[in-house]
Amino acid sequence: MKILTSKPYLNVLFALAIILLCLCGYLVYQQMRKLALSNSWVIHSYQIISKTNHLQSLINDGESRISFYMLSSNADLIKNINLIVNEIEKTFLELGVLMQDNTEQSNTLKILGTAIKTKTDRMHVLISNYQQNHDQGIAIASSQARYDLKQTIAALIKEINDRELGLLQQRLNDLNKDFNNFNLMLLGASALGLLMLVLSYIVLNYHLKQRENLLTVQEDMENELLIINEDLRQSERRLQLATEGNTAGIWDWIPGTSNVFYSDSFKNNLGYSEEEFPNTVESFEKAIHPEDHNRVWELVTNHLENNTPFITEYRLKSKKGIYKWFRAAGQSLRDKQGRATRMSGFIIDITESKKNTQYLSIQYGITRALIESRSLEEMSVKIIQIICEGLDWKMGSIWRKDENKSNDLYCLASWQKPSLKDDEFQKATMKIRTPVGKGLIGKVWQAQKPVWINDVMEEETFTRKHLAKNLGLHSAFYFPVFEKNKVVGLMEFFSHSKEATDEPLLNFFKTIGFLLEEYIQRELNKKQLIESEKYKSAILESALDGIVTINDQGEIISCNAQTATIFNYSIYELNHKSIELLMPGLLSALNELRTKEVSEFTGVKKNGGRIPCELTISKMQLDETAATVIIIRDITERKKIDQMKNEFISIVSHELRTPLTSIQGSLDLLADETVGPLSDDEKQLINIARNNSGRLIRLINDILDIQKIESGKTEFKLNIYEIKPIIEEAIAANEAYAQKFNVKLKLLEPYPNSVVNVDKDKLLQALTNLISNAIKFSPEKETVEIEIRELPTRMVRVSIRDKGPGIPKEFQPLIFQKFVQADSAATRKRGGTGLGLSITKAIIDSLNGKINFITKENSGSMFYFELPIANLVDNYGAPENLPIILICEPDDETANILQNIFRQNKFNTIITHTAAEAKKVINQANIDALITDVVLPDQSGISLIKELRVTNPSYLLPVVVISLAATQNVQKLKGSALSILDWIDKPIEQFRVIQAVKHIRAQMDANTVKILYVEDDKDLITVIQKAIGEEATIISANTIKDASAAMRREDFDLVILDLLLPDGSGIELLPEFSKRHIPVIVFSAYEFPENYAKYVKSALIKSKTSNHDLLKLIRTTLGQKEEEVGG
Amino acid sequence: MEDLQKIMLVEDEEDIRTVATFALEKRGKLTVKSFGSGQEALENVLNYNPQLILLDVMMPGMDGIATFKALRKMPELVEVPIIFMTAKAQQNEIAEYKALGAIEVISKPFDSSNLANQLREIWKKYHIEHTSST
Repeated sequence: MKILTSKPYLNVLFALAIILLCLCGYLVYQQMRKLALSNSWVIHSYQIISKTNHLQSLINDGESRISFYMLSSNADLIKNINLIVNEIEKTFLELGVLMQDNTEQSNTLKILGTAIKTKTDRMHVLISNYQQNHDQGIAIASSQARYDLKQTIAALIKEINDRELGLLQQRLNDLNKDFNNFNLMLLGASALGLLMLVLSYIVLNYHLKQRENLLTVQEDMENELLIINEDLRQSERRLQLATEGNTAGIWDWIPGTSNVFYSDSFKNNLGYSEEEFPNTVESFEKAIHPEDHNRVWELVTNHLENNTPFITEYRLKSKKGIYKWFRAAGQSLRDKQGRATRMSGFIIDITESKKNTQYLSIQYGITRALIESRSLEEMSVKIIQIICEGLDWKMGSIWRKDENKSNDLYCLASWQKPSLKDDEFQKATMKIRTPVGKGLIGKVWQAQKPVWINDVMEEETFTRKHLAKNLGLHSAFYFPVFEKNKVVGLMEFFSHSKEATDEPLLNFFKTIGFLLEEYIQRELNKKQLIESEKYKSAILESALDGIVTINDQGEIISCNAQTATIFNYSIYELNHKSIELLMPGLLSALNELRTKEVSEFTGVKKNGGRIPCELTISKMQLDETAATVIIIRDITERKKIDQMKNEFISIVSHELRTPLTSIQGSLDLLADETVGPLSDDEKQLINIARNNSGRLIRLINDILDIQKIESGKTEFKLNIYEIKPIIEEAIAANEAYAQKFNVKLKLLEPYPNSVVNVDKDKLLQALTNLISNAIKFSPEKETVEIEIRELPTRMVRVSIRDKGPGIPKEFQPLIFQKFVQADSAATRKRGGTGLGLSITKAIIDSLNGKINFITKENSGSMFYFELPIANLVDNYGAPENLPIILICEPDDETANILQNIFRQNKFNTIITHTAAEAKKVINQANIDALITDVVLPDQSGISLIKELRVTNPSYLLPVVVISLAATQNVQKLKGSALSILDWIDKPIEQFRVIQAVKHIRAQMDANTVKILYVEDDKDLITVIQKAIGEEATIISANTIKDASAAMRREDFDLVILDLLLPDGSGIELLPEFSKRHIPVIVFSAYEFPENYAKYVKSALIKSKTSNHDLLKLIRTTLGQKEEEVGG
Repeated sequence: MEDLQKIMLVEDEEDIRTVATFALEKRGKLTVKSFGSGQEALENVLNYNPQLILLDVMMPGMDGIATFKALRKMPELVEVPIIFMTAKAQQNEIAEYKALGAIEVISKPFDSSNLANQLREIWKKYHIEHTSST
């Protein structure tokens, strides 16, 4: 309304409008009245006219009735004449009333009255006359008087009527005029009204709008209030949610009054029902902790006065009497003067978090104490103090056990709050000595778990009651400190209040317990660690090996003193340097070296000198980075010693052999009587000398052998051999020796064709040892039996059986030891060195075999060894599908060199030593190439090749020849049809072999028959592919497009062509094949059109052709092609 | 193939020279000319024109290896096979000599009764290789 009053002109306007409207109304009203009056006069006139006319008609009616009655004498006609007369009189009277206002008319009416009276009277007379005398009556009736009267009356009525009509005319005019005026006036008033209406509408509309706005604002305010209320509720709920349960509440206070609203959860939180905690300030006053009281009120006052923020934490006492911590915040509403009219806010129960924070801060304090303390005592006191201060406990002690003496428990340290009045209790505590299990302390110690005592005053075993009482101590808490499940200490705390056991507190102490335990453990570990570190670093530093740790970039992270010493640097010079400084090229080789257990590498000293090093490289994870640890051993000395040893052996070997050569040589010649015949005595003596010289030579050889095998220095040149020829060779080699002893050697049949991977010479040596032993111990004329047998364990067993005296029991365990012979006299007699079996065992062991013996005294011994059976093709773990090359080379040395080179070039190898073996292998295995020496024991390499070419002319096996002066031989063999790919000179040079490998590969590729099979039926392709097998490689194309692509990609030896293809007819391809001279076999379901026959070798119809026929045709066609090429 | 007749022996040890000469000449009916050093051998080899050379390895001054290399350089001797006869005849050493081009290695102490036959066999084998290619 304020808005309306602020616009007074509107009131004036409205007043004016209303006055105007009233005026208009009044005028209209007046006019209306006038109009009504006029109208009434008009009506009045019409009434008079109507009445007069009625009167006239009544009189006429009466007259007529009378006349007809007289004529007809029908009495019915005059029966109601009286009624008519009465009606005439009534109407006349009414006219009189109506004409009262008009004197002129009244006067005329008076006259008319008299005339009518006369008339009516006469009527009566007439009727009665007539009833008495008809004729008289008729006479009267037809009298002039009657007529005249009638005329007079009519004239009078007409006079009245005319006059009245005149009046009516006048009155109608007036009415009309009035009506027009009224209309005009009404129009004016309406227009004015309308105008007012429009104006009012505008004004009202405007004001209504204003009002509407006002209402919206008001409504918004109301809504907002609702929302605020809802918010409050929500925030309370949220608070509760946030604090896990009903831990939040709301309060609302009107300052200056005692009126406070506390929400239900506020009260519930403290354990009160709604009624128990009245909505007054006093309730709060009662609940708040005395220590917090003043501070909180100060804050409230400040807030109210200065609007400083009100947010604080305080304690409220719950119904149970326990103080809980709350965080409170509030805000006030203020009036225009800035006075706070309301203050409201929330509180949250933060007891738990307060406790946790408290615990955390205690924990932190303890951790610090643990770190900072230098002794257990110092630490204990600190911890007690921290716990007491943190939890508001009055006193604490730590108890230990006197392990050395009495095993009694004693108080190691104690602390009490300075506020306590005396230290008597503490003093008493310090004096206590109690055994485990006795007294409160002893019992708690024994319990080995935290103990909570609500009130020590009620505890019988508690001896310090009287002193505790003085200090007002009640609750006590004990918790043990463990070290590896053993109680090593006990903490004791006292508090003033009688508090209940508290789960979080127990948990908290568990944590503290762990901390202490860990600390004690750590201290112990630290001690051990320091010692072990010292020990380790002592080892590290005194190590003879250099130990270097490098990071991914090869930078030296750390190294020991020895590293520096080895390379003549100081440690500081090496720090963060690249390892390449010490060992150039190491980083690039690192990955490869890491795979080896140890590897040799050349290091460089500070002065540039080179040192041979042996490296052990291992990777390790260092925090987040990978590091490599390299153990460097300076092997200069070892190298030197090795060399010296080798030299020594060499020298011994040479220096001993040289004189022996002369001795043996001379004796041999003498014994042979080369220089002249000898007497028997001479012969005997010379033979003694010769035998012993021979024995000395064998001894030297054996010593060298065993020394080498045992030191692992012997290189075993492993190759694949059939075992039987080796055995036969060994038998042959010992034949002469056997004859000397008059002993026979026999290889038992049947023998399996086992293949072994061995060093042939070494195996021969082992066999010779065993066979010669058997011979030596065999009785004369007996047979030494040799047997080869395959075992189910994929081993081949070779046994050598003699019928000798057997091996004495006590001697059996020593049989493979050095210089052991059952009978040293026998040794001498039999010329053994005592090393034979040791060497044999060492050899068999090195060949991954086993050696053993079975013996029976006086009936003989059997020595046997077992070797793993190998595959004929030696693929050394390489994939089996590699091509196989047959190396036919009698000299093992050369064969090995070749084998290595071919292996490196991805070939599997078979080594044979003779042409016969080679032929056998070629027949058995599917070899891909041959390399042969020209000189073979049984026939020449060249004749071998010739044989191969004759037996299998169609297949051009790639062949390489090795010979002395090969280059010259090439000249000689030029033009011969042997198709030798390459000649390699002896001694063999690696690069020449590699060249040969290339030639072989090229030839192999050329040898592969490739067939393009154009066919959309994939199953058929598979069938044909299977039928052809390894004879040729089939490349299939399903469409013309694929076929063209394949043709562009590679060369083919043959095309098999289907005609009906998804993208056209195979015929389209024919010209292209023809251009490339590729023979074509058409293999289709349809007849082949003859006009294309010139492009095609043969045409087969699918339904009429068997696979066999097709294969045959393929082979023939390929054969023809080769001939063409060869020709 | 001509028969083996003229052998040259290079050996610093006089006793061995004697024994070997005995073995080859008296027993083997071969002609032997022996020299006490590589140097001496090189000086006389062309005059003597041996069919086969037996060469010791460990010799003072010019050792067997050096002598071998020097001999191999002489175009006149391209087809003369050289055999090492040495006490240093361990497996690796043998491989080494063969790699140099020695056609065979006879280890000391040698079998004096059989030495001549041994040489004849080597000679034969060497010629199979030659003839097979011819």
